[in-house]
Parts: sequence; C-alpha cells; structure tokens
Amino acid sequence: MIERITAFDDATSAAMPFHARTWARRAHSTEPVDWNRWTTAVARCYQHAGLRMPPVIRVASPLALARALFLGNITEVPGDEDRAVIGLIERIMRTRIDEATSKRFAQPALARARVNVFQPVDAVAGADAVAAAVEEAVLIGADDAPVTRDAAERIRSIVHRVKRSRLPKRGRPGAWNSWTLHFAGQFDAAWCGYTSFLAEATGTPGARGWPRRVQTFAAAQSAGWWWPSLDFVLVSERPVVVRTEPEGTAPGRLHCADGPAIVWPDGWRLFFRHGTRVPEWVITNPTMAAIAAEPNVEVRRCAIEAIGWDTYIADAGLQLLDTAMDPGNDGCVLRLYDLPPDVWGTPGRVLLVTNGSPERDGTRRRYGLPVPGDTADAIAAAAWTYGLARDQYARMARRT
Amino acid sequence: MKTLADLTGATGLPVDAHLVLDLVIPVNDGLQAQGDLVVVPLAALAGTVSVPAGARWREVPPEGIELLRGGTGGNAHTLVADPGTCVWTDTVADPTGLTIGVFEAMATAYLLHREHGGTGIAAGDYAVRRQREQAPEVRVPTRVAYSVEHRGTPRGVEAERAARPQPRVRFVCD
Repeated sequence: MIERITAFDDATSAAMPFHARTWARRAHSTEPVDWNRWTTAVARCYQHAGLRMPPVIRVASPLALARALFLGNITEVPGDEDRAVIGLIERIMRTRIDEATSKRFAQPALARARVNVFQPVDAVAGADAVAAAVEEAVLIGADDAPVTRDAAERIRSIVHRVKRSRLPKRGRPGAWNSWTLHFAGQFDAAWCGYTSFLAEATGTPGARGWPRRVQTFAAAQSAGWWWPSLDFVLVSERPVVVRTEPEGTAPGRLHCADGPAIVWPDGWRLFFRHGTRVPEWVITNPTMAAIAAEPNVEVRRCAIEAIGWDTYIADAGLQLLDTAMDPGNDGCVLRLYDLPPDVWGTPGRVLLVTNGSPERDGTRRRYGLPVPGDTADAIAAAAWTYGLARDQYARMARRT
Repeated sequence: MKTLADLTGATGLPVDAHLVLDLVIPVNDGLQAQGDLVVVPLAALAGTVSVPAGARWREVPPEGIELLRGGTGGNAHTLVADPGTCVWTDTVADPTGLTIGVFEAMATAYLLHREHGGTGIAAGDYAVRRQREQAPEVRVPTRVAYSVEHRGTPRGVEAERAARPQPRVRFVCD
C-alpha cells in the first residue's frame, strides 16, 4: 500500500506558480501542433475505452468544428449519445484519474493544488469564453471556409457509410447542441496542469497507472478542440494569434486593447479586455451610444474603460457629488461622481483620481475607480480603495 | 540621502528619462502611495494585518524585490534597500485581502518604479497594500477541478459490442 501524500514539500509547493504559468502558456500557445504526438495520445484514449480510433478530420477553429458537425447533419443528444464517445473517454481518463488522485493525496493537499495550479490557469485560459463564442455563432454561419465545408462533406460521407439509411433528423436548430460533446484541447490546460502537477508530486510522473494516463490525456488535449465519435475524430487547429497581458507572478489574462486577442487560421477571432470577452465594437469603436445600448454590465464596463473614465464622465453628464484635494498628491483633486443604477446594475459611485507622477509629455494620467454606492465623500472613497479609514488616508504623506 | 540616479545605479533597474534623477528622494515614515500600491505603517493596521508565527522572511537582495507588476504597462514596483538592512515576507493575514506583504526596514528603504520614480521609507515596520475598486455584480460560475459530468455510454457502442465476439486477451496499455 503506497502511503497517502498529505502535504507537499517546500520545493514542490514553491514550484506551483511556475507550473501555473507553464500551463497558462500552453492554453495560449500558437506553436504548430505536434500531430504525431496528438494522434498517438488520442489513439491511446480510444484504446483505453476499448475502441478503435477512427479517421481524423481537421478543421481550422472551434467554430469551424461546430459548423462542420452542423453542416454534416450530426445530431447527438448530450446525456443520450448515439455515436459520440466523449462520455466513455471522459470516464476512462478523467474520472479514473480523479479517483486515483483522491486516493493518493489527502484532501488538503488536493485543495492546495486546486487553488495554486488549477484556479490561476482556469482564470486565464478562456475555455468558457471560447465555448460561449461558439454557442453565439454556430447557428449564424454566414461564411464557412471551404475547409469547413469539405470537413462537413467528409463527415456526411463517413456517417452515410456507417449508418446507411438510419440518419436521424436534426432537431430544431435552436436546440442543436451536439457541438458541446467536445474536449477543449489546449483550453483545458487548467485540469491538465493540475493533474500533471499531482503526477510530478508523486516523484514518478511517467510511471504506470494514473500518472501515465495524465500524460496521455494532456497530450490528447495539446491541440485545439476535438470531438470524438465512433466514426471520426474532428479536431481544430490551434490559434495563430493569442495576445495576453504581461505575465507577472500570476499568468497573463487574454487582452488586446487595439485588436483581436485570439485569431484562428480561418480568420475567426475573439476580442478580450483584461480577461473579459467583449464584442468587437468595444475594441474597435467604443461609443457612448453603444455603451448605453449594451445590456451586459461587464461589457459596458470594458467599453467605458476603453474610452476612458474621464471622457465617459463628461459625456454621460454624471452628477458630481464631492471634490477634495488629494492628500500627498500636490495640486491634484479627487472627484466623486454618482453612477446611475442603469450603468452598473446596482447603485455605485466612481472616483476620478489623478496619477502622482507625470507622463513624458507632462500630463498626468487619470483613472476612474468604481467604489461602493454608499461611499460618503471623495476622501472616504480614496481610503476605501486601499482598505483604510478616512482619517488615515487624509494623512497621506506622499504619492508618486 | 539618495537620488533616483543612485538607486538605478545600485539596482540596475531603469526609470523613465523625464523623471528628475539628481534630486534627493524625500523620505517619510507615514502613509505613502505609489500608483496602485500603498505603504502603510504597520502600527496603523494593528488588529487588521498580522504576520503569523512561522512566516518566512527574506532579506531584500541588492537588485531589490519585485512587489507587484502592473497589469497593462508591465512595470514593477520594486522594494530596494542597502544590503542587510531590510527583510520582507509575503506571509500575511489580512481580512481585506489587500496586503501583499510586510517589511521591516532597519535603515531607509525605497520603493522604485519605472514610471513613478522613487519613494523613501524611513526605518520601521510597514505593510504594502494593493488598491481595489468595486466591480459590477457579475455572477461567474465557478468550475471545479474534478470532473462533474459523467456522460453515458453511447448506444452505438453497446450495439457494436454485442455484435462483436468477446476477445480473450487484451493489451496492457497503462
């Protein structure tokens, strides 16, 4: 009986941030896929599930993957699959690994690995954002690339051969969600990083048993989305462009202030500001009218940041509640404005502050900091941003 | 008594050319802010911020300790001190979650930043806090690290397996 690991040693604990950064980079990788390694790993996943690996069909993006399934007349009901095998592979790989790690590690150790490896990667990988973007676009499909239509044609011919006359009718387009039966590929880096970390913590990461399965599954998740079935494996390329914030001690979030943050080879692209997926207009053409019409509060906030809080405050005619000289920041004024409930969804206020140091051109940058709606005055608002009492902030000696 | 030029010379860390390099950096023992960081005398946060017993302290090395790197600009706030005069720990308890660490300066320490220049901190104990802002209430579903969905066996597999003779040997592939 192998002894259960209850805590990580110092070196292993210290390696957690490095591990998180490494796997976040994998989530955002634009390197060419090592297709031999991927194919071997996926074949092994099928083998574990007691299946033979069918032909591979490649598409350019996650959206192209979903569109090819749609155009290929694939109808699968999640939970009652006919020929999609994600459930089998998930059970034989992921569930098996989960069960093994919870036997090998005590819960506090697993919790530490979740907090320090899984969560930091999950927070930046963008897995949910990509899936949400596919869901929005999959039924629109204005201009499918020729390679997507070719993939759909191959799917149709394979499925025809397999099933002959028993092709099911596709359900109502609004309910069609067969594309959700995919593995997220590189965007699943959080789970792969978490389990790889655990495998390394055993001291024998490539050993037989579950650590070996971790390696296999991570390799299978090293390309883009993949959709396994009995008849074919549909797989997407990696993006060709991924832009993130600079990496600090934590991994960098998806971000590009003047263009798309992710672009796939077929031109499908997504826009992000500081980790939040936003519509294209937020980046390319943020206007007051568009902000006013935007129902999503997080998108609205990103758009306000894009045009700048001081511009927004002036144009939106926000009500000035209080002004005060900024202590320690000579000649600079703190301004507290009321943020109408329809901007934030809840009552709020915004404090307009001025940088303590000048820019190269002598001007000082201004920032709008949203603060709680019950903030009394400008000094109290500034104090709140640092978690200080009003009279403490009032004694600020110096700001640079 | 140090100037920005002294600090950049000692640490190798650059500052922007438009900042005045040869002026003596003011030294204070009170609250001081540098962009999105604030240095707070530890006594002012008594009862809120504490350093647990067993915290790991490290001496501030000649090149300084990077406290926080900016999200967009990517420039770091660096804690700088003469060798052997300052220790730092990031093992802190703070219910607000804003404190990133605590340092004990036996002599003047400095906070250096490429765009903000330098701030002198008189000998004493200080907490370093980040700045926060209110975010709109957005409900983000938290995902868990272990798998939650266990999908079923496709009907197609059952049909194929039933039609297939059962193998008597299997390959070991683990």
